[in-house]
Amino acid sequence: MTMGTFRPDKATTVTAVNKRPDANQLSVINSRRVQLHLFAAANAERMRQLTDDSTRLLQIATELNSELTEVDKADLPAQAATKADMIEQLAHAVKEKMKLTVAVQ
Amino acid sequence: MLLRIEHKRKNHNPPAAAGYLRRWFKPGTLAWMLLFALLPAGYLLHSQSPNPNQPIPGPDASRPLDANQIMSMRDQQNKKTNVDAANAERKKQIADDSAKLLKLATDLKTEVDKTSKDTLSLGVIRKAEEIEKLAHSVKEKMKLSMGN
Repeated sequence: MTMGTFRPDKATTVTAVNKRPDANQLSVINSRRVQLHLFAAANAERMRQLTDDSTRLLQIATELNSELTEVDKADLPAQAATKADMIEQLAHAVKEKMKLTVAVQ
Repeated sequence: MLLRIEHKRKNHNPPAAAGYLRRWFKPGTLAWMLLFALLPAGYLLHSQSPNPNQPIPGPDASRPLDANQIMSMRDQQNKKTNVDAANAERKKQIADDSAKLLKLATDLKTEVDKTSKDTLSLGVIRKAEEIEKLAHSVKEKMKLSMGN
């Protein structure tokens, strides 16, 4: 074996590249990891709620449409206005929840 | 006393006018005259008695309508026609809007199902906003229709 050959696995010199993070850096890294985890969980929960809301919205819209087409044209059903109000609130909720989505990197 | 009265009766000579009256006012004649006299009165009384089923006409019931009243009646009829037409149009719009709502809701559901949990979909936001506005419009139109 030739003397003086560089062997990285035997290198013990601590440089800026291979230096271990200190306690502060470890804390930052850990908190960032936790934050990402929380964001991902929040996004998953929000996605679940979005799916539920859009399903409910579609169901109410279907009911409203069938009520309005089935009923006599002379009078509107009393709960139709309530259903329209529910659709409005659900659509608002879907919009706001989708705006809150956080990109996890 | 009794004899005196009998004497008075025998001496009593009725005048000629009294005989004439007695001849005319026989019991049968009198009854006929009363009947003829009471018939028209009874008819009038019957015709003027108030009927509980019919409203009592006011003093100006038979009076023809003047120009103002005719104009007011026509105005009311026109307003009623306009309100009915507006209601029918509104109901048609509500039915159309509800069909549109159903289509938008179906699109929104499809779009939400396609979106992943880390994606912010502008299409979903846009569609949700459109649904919100349309539902608000439908609600207001329904309130107008119910309020009339």
